[in-house]
Amino acid sequence: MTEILLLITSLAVLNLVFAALVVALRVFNWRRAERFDGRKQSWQPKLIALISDDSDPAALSSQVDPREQADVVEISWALARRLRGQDRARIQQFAEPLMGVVTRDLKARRPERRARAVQITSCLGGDDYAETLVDCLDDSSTLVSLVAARALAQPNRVDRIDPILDRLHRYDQWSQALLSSMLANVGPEATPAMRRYLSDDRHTSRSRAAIARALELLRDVEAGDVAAQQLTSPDGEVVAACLRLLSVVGRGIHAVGVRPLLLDDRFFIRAAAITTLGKIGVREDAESIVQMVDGDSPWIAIRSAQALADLHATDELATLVEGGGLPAEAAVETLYGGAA
Amino acid sequence: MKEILLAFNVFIIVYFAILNGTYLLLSVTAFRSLRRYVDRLDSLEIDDLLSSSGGLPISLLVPAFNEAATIVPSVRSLLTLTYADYEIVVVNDGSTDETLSVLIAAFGLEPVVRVPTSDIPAAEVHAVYQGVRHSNLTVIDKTNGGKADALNVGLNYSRSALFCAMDADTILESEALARVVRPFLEDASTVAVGGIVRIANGCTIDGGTVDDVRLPKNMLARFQVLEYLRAFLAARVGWNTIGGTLIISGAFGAFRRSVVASAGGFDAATVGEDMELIVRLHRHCRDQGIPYRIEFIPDPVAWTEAPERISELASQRDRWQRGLAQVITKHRRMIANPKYGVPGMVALPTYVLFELLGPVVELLGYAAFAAAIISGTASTTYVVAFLAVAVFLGSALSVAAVALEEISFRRYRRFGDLAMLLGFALIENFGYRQLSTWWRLRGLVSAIRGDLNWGTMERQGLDRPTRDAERTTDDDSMDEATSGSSIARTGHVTER
Repeated sequence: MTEILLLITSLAVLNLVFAALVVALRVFNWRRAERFDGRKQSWQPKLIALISDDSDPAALSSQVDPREQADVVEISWALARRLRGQDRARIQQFAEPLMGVVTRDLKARRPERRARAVQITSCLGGDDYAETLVDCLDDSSTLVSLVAARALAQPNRVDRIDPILDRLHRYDQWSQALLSSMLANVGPEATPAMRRYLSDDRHTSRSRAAIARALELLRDVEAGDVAAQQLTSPDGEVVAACLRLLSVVGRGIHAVGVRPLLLDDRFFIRAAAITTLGKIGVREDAESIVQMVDGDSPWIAIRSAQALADLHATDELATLVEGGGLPAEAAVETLYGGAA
Repeated sequence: MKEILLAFNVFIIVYFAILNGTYLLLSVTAFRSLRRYVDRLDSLEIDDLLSSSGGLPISLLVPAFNEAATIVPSVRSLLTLTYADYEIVVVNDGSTDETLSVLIAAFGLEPVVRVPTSDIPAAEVHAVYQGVRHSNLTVIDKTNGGKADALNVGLNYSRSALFCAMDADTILESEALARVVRPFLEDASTVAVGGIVRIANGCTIDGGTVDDVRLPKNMLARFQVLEYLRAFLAARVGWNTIGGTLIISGAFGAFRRSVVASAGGFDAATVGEDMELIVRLHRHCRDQGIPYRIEFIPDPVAWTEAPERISELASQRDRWQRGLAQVITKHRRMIANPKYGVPGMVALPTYVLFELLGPVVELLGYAAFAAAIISGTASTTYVVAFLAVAVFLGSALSVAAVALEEISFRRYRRFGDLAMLLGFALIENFGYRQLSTWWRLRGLVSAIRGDLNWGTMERQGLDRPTRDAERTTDDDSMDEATSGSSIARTGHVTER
């Protein structure tokens, strides 16, 4: 009986402890939010004034009480993220003496905290902290490393592209769309380094494919030759990415390497080759594309119809319409923009 | 006889203790995970992802059956979502009301030819319409075939690499799409992501946005708020931490299209098509050796209207239990099969023991408890022990769920609402829980009888948006056809 009473008492106490914890959490969060709001109301107008006048940022930062440093950094960061150029530089000068609370978190045990510190450092630290961010690329957590890479991949900072490319393989699990937009953000000056990367088959296929997409986003005409050279690669992911790149930046001469891929065993290579040939091929390629259309694959049918339209092969499109079935529907969708 | 009753009573107490203990363990796991997840949200800001051009195109599949009264404001609300590249595919599932005509009139739809890109078996499609003002809005008119069938048609006609399955009456928060896509950006092997479903009853909704979150006035809906917190923040986060996610709510989930299509789409022969798909995705990916991740994340929010009438809630719970029974029966080979890892070895057996058979054991337990008291064979020790494990351990679970909400998203800002939730954590054990167990038992019986009826729910109606959106996006990405992904479309249909 004693054990049972002990059990029921323990469970009742457990409930009370949980409930008390919830209430305590609510009070704690409420007080913290109230304190932060108070500091925000106090510091945000001062920071906005700092942007518009010529007062000394260091003098203002000396007024920050050590107990409110973390909140003031948070407020500065929120403001600086919305600013560019000289305005952001003024906030960076203000935050410089306070950066200790941020850089301390770069060594935090939890990767999420380190990643957040990297974000704040990149925004409030400016160029002075570029080396620190480069060091973060080698963080044991890929999250921290990727956040550092995103922070470094800024427009016109071509000097930072090499350290990022050296670690690109670390981000293979991340979406290629995310990586390619990050790399493209650096701008056209980074394309020579990216082209070299794409042509080097020692790199992983996923990272090379991401590079190809970045070059596609940048519409780098000179990448066409590199992409064409990769079409014989045994790596399907790279070939597909290069075909997409060629469909944007390729020239007629590159079609020679694309045509054999119409017969590739891999469905996604054939589909990409059809689209690319539609963009950079010649009128005579229409016949080969028509032969590709079968009634089984809607993707091939849709891509073929679009490619024929791109080649202005209206006779071949009309033939598809007359043939009926899936190819005809794809041709109608392409010819009339889908209007029934 | 007395010994048998005593032995059974002991079994019941042990069962209750293991059941509640297991879920308490999941809550503790969820506590750690939620804290990390909230930190992770801060580590890669959603604004950055939204402004990045790296967002993935996604199709929103919206099955609609007799939704004439609400479909236009629902679609208008969806058109205002904050996401760079998405299309809305409304599938009119043979509505007998004016659903199609109000859509045509409101959005200036015109018939188009659109080639389906997969061939998952589904009811006949009569016509496809596209918005003139909103080129990212497509409406497909088809013969009635049920929600799963409508989703399959939407899947057949969508062309984005990802799709999001939702209910027509669900309100998505404006950032919900960006948030639900995030795991697909963070890990390319992600095949499915579920977001949290919250109850909108009692909240103030304006312009398709939930402005003020409050507890419902209706008692039944309040109990459900607590249940949803427990189910999503404790159980699903907990299961997700150990890789055992078996359910992504049909009201809001995002999927990689190619994998779902190659797995055969949604199963129209079950009333639990959402859970069935997730279990089948586990099975399909493991059978085919496809690296995959199925994630539940608690920050993309979909708001839904909870039933406020006992008959409707009973019908809903009956259907959920039938769905569970169908899924477990269909995939019984996965149970305790090491080939299927955590889902097969841990999650499914737990679902069988506590979710499927739970109502049977619980109600037998209550009956035995009553019998023991009436016959005078119940000792004070037994009565106290039963109350301890059935009531206090049960309410500890609910209080823990409220604690999880408090450490993470804190949607219920008013102190009165918080106090009310804590109070309901205790109250629900006296009446509501037993009623819910009874409905689930009825569902189990219906499943054994082979009932496939969905039941109906008369919506009380959520306040709907009035703004119209003028955004348009480029149509189809056709991303999956040329991505070179190892998960290529195969087009074949399995499990039929």
